[in-house]
Amino acid sequence: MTLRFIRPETVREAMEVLHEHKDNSKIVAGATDVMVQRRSEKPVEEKPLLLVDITGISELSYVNFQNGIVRIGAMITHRDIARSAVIHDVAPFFADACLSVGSPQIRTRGTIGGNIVNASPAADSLPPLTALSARLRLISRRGSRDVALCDFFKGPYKTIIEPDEILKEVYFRAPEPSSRCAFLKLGRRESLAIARLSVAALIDVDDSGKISKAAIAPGACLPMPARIAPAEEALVGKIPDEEVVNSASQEVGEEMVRVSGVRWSTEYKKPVACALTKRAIWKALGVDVD
Amino acid sequence: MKKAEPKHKRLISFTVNGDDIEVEISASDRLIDVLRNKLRLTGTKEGCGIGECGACTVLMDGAPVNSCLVPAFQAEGSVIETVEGLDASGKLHPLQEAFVEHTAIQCGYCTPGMLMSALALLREHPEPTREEITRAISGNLCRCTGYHQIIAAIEDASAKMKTTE
Ligand SMILES: Cc1cc2nc3c(=O)[nH]c(=O)nc-3n(C[C@H](O)[C@H](O)[C@H](O)COP(=O)(O)OP(=O)(O)OC[C@H]3O[C@@H](n4cnc5c(N)ncnc54)[C@H](O)[C@@H]3O)c2cc1C
Ligand code: FES
Ligand code: FES
Repeated sequence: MTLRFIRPETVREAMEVLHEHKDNSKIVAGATDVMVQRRSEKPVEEKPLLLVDITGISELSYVNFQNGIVRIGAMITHRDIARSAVIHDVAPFFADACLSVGSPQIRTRGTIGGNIVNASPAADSLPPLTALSARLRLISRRGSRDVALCDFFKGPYKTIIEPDEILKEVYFRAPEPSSRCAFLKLGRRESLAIARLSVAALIDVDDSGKISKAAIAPGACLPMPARIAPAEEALVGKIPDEEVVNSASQEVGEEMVRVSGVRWSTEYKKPVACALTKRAIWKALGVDVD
Repeated sequence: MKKAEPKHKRLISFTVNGDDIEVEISASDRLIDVLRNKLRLTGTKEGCGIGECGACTVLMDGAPVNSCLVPAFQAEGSVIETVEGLDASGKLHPLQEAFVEHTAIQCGYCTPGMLMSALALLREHPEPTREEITRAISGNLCRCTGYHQIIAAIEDASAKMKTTE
């Protein structure tokens, strides 16, 4: 038997274990990704592996809001976020995104840390966190480092995290109280990947009715989370009308094709990405369109 | 505090349907394996084994989880409830009665999981809206009934539980 487990109770203890076993250990949080991945692995010639279960570490479960910064411990679940008064208050589109994850059962166990570190292009927390310009704090026995969320990813399912590092928290500055946001998602979980698409929009309008700030981050159609600068530029400084919103939405479709190339699914995905972006922008602006 | 050591087998203790249980588990065991094979609580069913169908739903510290996705070692110290706990008093739970009355059971494979999701819902929202019901059972697939009977049964159970309070 080569599979072992350990349940550290403190971050300090977990860092020691990971340091000592960095060549053959794997962090387990809510296990919703890990258990599915382990099932598809071949059981034969299984390498020795130490599962480092961090669900017993209570110091990683917190949502703090201080000095304008929201800090979310890695062990906070999708269920916690969907029910957090702070998140509903400062970034309701983030709560919506977590509420759209899988099923009640998956949201009970699945954590924000696992969603980020698993680095699926379709991870639902990532578009709102990208729009919020979130940052991550990684810790290990060697010390701690902070990285911007968008610099954390190297590609689909690939990140810069080192084997001895723990994601401690994700944090972001609360948007201006005047700003508005929306998260829209298409497609059922685990249905054909082409049907999965989401858009997060965070928009601020100044007193004159002009858009002063815009962050547009699509999900599941790019290899890594990213904001779409051309779409944001098409909005900022303008009074939102149909033409402005349409041209910004068009940019999201264009960017998707630029980054991912033309694939057999592009014909379907591009107009859908444009339409979903359009709806997300209008929804953020307080207009429901169908 | 003593330092944790890597283990491949270990005795863990937790509560199942109100009983304190101690059981030896290995690193690769899932909660569903422990419930069905070690504790002989075979009411909990395995369908897909990958979190998609909800047949294996049990409550862990009051919230619904897929027991096929929970490593057994994570159950340490937790409170688990399975379908066997529903009629522990010897009488069917109002949810179970309503499922029977509304023919919300055909092959019955989804039923234990469905009941546990419904139980979690009714504890938190004794008078759920139809939308809350739909959302609460969205992680439970039923290939037979078409869900209408299940939703009606949950609505009915909610009404009955209110009048018997
Ligand atoms: C049926 C089903 C439906 C799903 N639907 C959705 C969906 O709609 N949207 C969505 O976004 N996701 C979905 N998921 C994926 C999954 O539930 C989420 O990604 C979840 O947030 C993962 O969190 P976890 O705690 O379960 O991670 P785990 O499985 O415990 O871990 C995932 C990865 O992250 C690493 N890790 C976890 N925590 C840390 C940490 N603090 N520091 C360093 N590394 C860490 C682990 O080593 C592992 O590599 C679904 C999964 C299933 C099985
Ligand atoms: S058996 Fe667990 S969700 Fe299908
Ligand atoms: S009754 Fe057969 S799956 Fe639901």
